[in-house]
Amino acid sequence: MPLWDGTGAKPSGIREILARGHYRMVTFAVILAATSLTLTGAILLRVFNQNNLTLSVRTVSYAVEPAMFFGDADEVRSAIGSVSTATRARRIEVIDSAGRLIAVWQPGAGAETDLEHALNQVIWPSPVEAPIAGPDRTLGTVRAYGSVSQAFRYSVWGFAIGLACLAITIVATRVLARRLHEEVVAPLEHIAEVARAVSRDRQFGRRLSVSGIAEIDRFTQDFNSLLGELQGWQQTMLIENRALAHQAEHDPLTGLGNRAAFEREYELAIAAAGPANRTLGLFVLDLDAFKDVNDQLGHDVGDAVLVEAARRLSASVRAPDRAFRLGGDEFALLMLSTLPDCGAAMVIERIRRAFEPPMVLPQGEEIGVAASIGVACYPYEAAESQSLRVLADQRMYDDKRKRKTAD
Amino acid sequence: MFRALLGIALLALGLPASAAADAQVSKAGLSLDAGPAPYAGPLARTLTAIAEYSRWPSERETLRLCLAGPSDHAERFTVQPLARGRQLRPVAGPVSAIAPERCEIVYLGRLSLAEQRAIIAGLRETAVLTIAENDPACRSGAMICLLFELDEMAFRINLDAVSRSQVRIDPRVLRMSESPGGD
Repeated sequence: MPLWDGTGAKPSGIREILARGHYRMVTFAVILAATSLTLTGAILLRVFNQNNLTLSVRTVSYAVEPAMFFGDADEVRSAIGSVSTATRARRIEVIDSAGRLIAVWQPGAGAETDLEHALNQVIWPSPVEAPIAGPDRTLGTVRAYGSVSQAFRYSVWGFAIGLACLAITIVATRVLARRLHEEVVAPLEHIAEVARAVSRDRQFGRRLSVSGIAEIDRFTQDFNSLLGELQGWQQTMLIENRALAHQAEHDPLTGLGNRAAFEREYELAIAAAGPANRTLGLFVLDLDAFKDVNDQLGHDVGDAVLVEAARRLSASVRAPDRAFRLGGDEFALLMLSTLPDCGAAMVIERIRRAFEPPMVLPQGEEIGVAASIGVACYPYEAAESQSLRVLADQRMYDDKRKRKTAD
Repeated sequence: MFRALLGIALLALGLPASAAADAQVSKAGLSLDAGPAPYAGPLARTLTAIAEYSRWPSERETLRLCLAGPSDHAERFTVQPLARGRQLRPVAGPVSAIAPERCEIVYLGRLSLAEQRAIIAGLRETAVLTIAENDPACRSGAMICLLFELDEMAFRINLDAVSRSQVRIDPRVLRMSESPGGD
């Protein structure tokens, strides 16, 4: 079978396969989106912070210039603090022209974790600097050290939100997979059901209905046309089988049952007669001098004689009794009866009368054909089939001999 | 892997927000020099810086610093060159000689409040920068009042006087001062 065989287990878990596929796809997409967004955001924040630091050092440089000129360290500190409320720097230093540290401003001192510290060293290895230009000379330098804490917090939130999205999407995936399962698997199950009906119950007349899914419908068309072919083959085969069965049990010349049919019917009739409280008469016939007819008048005439003999025999029995051609010019009759002697004499008389009129040959000549008949009656004359036949044959030969001597 | 990352995430979220704890704003002031005249250096720096960060309506190369009355500190004032080729030139003379056309800066020495007020009254709304040595409460109406404190030197700015004057003092310098009401 193209899909799966109906006797085996159903392929388990199309829904699971779909869900797994979705799950992987969605996980990949969400992780990709979250990662790229977080990374892009962190990089943008780094750029913004860089700008912020540049602006911070310029502002601080401007603000501390007079205080530097006065040489007022306290005022320098105060000035940094007053203009640095919005800075992203973790540390701002003011250094005079001789390189001495004049003031340090550190908003979140001590709040930095080891991880942040390590990241700061990597992401902001060197400070952003701006000179302090006094009225007549450069008074010193402002240095600002960047901080990752904002970008770090952003990344952490991005990660957490990404995880949350992932969880939501996984739930949504389950729902979608279930829906997809219903849409896709229902037609597949219909196909399976039809295939099973065809393979188990030989319902070749069944056809798949249209599902609305292009791929499945293409398959449906092919499957239906295949079913059509199968149905045609099946019918041809049935006819041929019937013909073969007919040939196997019938004599092609006379249309009577052949020896094989006789053997079968004989045993069946013997088996059926007892329980039905019936007697079974086995009549064996042999045409007299048929060999001479064949030799002298030809096989065509012989065949015509056989056909006519068969017709007359058939006419002298009623269904379900049957006549058989055992081979050559040898015939047999099986007749169920209620009479203890199987009505043997009456039947023989009927057959003799049937053979009395001369047979008209195809060329218009007439020929008289007679038959030797032997009969044995079951169960009174023989209790089993073999001895019944032997007895019937014996009586038929006796009859033939008697008739020859009478000639 | 996810669990480990989540752990880091929670750790980071649990951090205290780095509150911008403002650096302590200390009283502005210049530290004193060692030696017999501890205020000389800081005074010179203060006067130079104030001159440097002030703008007169008409720019002159020489800024005349008129000393009014005797001074405890300004006598030992050492001249330092200013930016852009300008210079500060102390001018000694009688109080009666103080006039807007003769001085860019008037340094009021050891004078009484009344004397100081008298001089300042004559300079009101002119292009003269007034600096008082002996007016810690800044009641004379001088634009800048110097504070010779025990451990440092500072100054106060009378914003009312500054706003009336034609001399423009850099706002960053104004910020540095101690306002009369305390910072």
